[in-house]
Amino acid sequence: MTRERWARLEAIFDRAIALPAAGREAFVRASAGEESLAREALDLIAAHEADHPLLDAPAAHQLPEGMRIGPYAIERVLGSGGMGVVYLASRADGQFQKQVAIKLLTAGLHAAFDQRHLRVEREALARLDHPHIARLLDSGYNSFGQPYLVMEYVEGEPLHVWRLQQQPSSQAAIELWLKVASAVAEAHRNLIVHRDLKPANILVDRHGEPRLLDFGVAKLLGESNAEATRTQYYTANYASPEQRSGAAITTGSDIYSLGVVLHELLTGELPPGNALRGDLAAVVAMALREEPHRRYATVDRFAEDVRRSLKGLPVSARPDSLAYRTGRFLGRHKIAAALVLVACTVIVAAASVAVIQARRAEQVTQYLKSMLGGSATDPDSLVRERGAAVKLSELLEQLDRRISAHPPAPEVEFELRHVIGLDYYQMGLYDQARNSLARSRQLADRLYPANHPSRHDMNLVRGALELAVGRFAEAEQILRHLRTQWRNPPPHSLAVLCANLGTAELRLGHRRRAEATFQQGLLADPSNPLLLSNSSLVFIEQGRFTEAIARLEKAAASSRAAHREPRVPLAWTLANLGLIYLWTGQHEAARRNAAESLGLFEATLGRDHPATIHPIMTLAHVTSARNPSQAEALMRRGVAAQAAALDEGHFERAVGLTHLGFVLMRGANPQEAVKPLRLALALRKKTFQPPNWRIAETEGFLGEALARTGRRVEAKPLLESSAAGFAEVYGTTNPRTQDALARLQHWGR
Amino acid sequence: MASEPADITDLLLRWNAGDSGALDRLTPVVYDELRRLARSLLQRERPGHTLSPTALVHEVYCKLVDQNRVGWENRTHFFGAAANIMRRVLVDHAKKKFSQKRGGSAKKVAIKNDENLQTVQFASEELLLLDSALDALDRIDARKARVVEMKFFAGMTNKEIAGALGTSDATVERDWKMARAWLIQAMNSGNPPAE
Repeated sequence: MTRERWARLEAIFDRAIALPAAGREAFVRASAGEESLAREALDLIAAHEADHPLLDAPAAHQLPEGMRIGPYAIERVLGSGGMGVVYLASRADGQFQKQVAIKLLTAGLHAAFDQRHLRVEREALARLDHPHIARLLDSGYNSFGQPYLVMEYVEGEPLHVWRLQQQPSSQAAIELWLKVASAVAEAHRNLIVHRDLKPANILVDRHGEPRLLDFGVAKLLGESNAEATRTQYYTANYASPEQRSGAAITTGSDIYSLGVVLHELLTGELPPGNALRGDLAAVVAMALREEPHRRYATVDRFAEDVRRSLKGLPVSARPDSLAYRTGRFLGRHKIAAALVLVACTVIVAAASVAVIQARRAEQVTQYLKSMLGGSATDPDSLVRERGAAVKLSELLEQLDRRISAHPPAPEVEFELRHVIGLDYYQMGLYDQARNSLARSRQLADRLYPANHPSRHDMNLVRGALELAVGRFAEAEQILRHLRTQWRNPPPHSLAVLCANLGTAELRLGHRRRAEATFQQGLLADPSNPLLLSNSSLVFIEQGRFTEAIARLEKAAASSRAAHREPRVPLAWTLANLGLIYLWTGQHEAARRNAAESLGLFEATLGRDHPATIHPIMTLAHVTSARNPSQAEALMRRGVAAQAAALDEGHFERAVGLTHLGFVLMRGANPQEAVKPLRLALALRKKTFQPPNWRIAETEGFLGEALARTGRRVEAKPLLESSAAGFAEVYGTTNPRTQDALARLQHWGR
Repeated sequence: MASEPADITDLLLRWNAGDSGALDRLTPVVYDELRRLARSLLQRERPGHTLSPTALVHEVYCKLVDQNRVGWENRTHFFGAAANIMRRVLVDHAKKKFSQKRGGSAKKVAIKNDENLQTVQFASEELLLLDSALDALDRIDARKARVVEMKFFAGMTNKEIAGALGTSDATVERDWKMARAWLIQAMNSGNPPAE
């Protein structure tokens, strides 16, 4: 057949089948012109009308009424969704008269994924036997190889429709919800997370009994497949933050969705609405917390609180804690989050990358040399040069672009992206670090199996990065997962992992968990500087300064003893050490440590890096009595560095303003101190909730500044509040509390 | 198995990035896996557990390809390639069965009036008829033959086929109707219509 003839045949066929059957033959004969072509076209049209069992395997959504699936005959479509169609059907073999719901997947490419979901649903349902979960009756493959599930048919209305129709009292609504919660709890006990709890998946029958449906996107916990912990299927309004962000799913995700369902059931609105009051509002709010681990630990506990609030009994839900608010705040302000950590006198986790970097330094040096025609020395010496950070950042950007333009072998690119990510991270360029690590991760996915050591290293850095930018929950999640994944990590790596994980846990308010994590790390590597340094935070936050100093001194000594330990982490250790010496009245030790810290920061991160504020403020304090104008100049320099790098509303700025206020108030014109101190106090009050030593610190200084300018009436309540705050956080015998009490005695009269 | 899932995914990604050599290396692995699966499934002949070609391709895809790493386009191309491979697997299997039956040495294949056995049943004569009709169609209109392969042997939707062939859904639908009618006509008449 010639191409032209085939094209004519096709044109006639296409147009003819669009016509009513009666007009086709006339049309074909008129347009074909010759008998043989007309004959062929008419044969094709006849074939078009004919059935062909082989070629016509029906797609699921086309199943006609009466068609059989296994022993069931289809009656009608009940509903359809992204994954398939649910039919109402009944036993066709007369074994028993019962209507069932059959879920059959639509044919097509995506069915590859959906089949797995259907398998998961089948396994999930097979494990579950609960009066409020629609039961699985049967499963199999139809004649076209499509899998199907046969489920109990629930004649009822979805929850939201039921609510509109029945207008239930709060009591009735809560009682119904408790039944749904018991179904979810049963699933969780069987290690199944539903992942798509919403009113449409909860049917209420005519006796008012709810049934939980659709485990199609459920997750079987303990399944080895990592993909299964993440899913693209979710319903936006009811999905937890971790589902929306694609993070790992836990039973906490269902608790969140149950919270949304309860809120809507009671108020008719999706949260956040204002209609809920009292304990119930607190209970729902706890279920809806952003970080899964801060919600109720189990559905049963959630249900218990709901039950108690119904009876007017006290509930376990508590309003958001300080740690949570801080975490949220930090999460929103990525800038200079390393500094944010130090504001809480934290040593940043940067050292974690040092080891890895040391191991790969050779490779980087090689590459840098090849890129720069042999002019580059090793990156450490670049950093060692004063102000080299700027140069290095330019160099990295250049490398970044070159690698993108001319990608080397994937193995090489993986190493380079990794190292570049580390360098960006160390320089505080977190967005660039994140991009680079994301690329490195992509490559690792192609190159290495799930349990390859290179991936562990990379995940360690990812965790450290999240910690540094203040995304503590993410950091905790990555690192905790890594801890379970990593079989027999080298002691040093385990120590670094624990140092970062413990810090994340501490930031999230889990002091005991953090202590245990630090302890685990210290058992593996008792002299790891980063771990020693970070673990001191547990003491610092509680005002246990003697123990904190001992720990930090050990960290510093260990850091100095290590051959290649980079100096940025040592600089943080020394900054914190200086600060605690200051707080405990040991001014010479404070000055010595702060001076060394400042020198290291200047040499590594540059003179105008905002991190410098931390040693500077300690130096300013110890200088202020002897040389107020020098102290003021120092503080102004630190404040300027902060102003250049941080937003005006960044709570880190309160550090600079508070201590600038301190030196001004001790200087010739204390009136000048009032404004920065008021600003600082406002910032700190916005960020932290009393009792908090940071608020207490600024209140004390502001009180003293006001008293020095003769405004004693205004000063007194501030000084009282300061002393009370310190006493509450640190206890009455703590040196800082003693300081605050002395200040109150002297200036509060 | 000689090949790890990671390799298949990598080959798939490379092939899609324009490395045509990757397809040559991809094909035997996918073919082996499909044949192995098909053999075990077709031999089982257990009611309620037969598997269509579509389901087979899906199985193989799930097994061989790390789905976290490949985008929709890659899946489409995999299925596009697998459609042809699947065709060869089933045809080879059918040829073997057919020759065994003609030789009379092999166990007779029970063809009961049981819908569950349909898939096994078509795996011989009818499939061979379809295969030669499809070859004939390929000589006249290669794109239409590809459409049939993808729709029939890989269970791809029109949209997916359109994506793989770089054409529109409507064209795929028109191609399918014409090809289907032509193939039915060809198979019914015992030999292909005027070539």
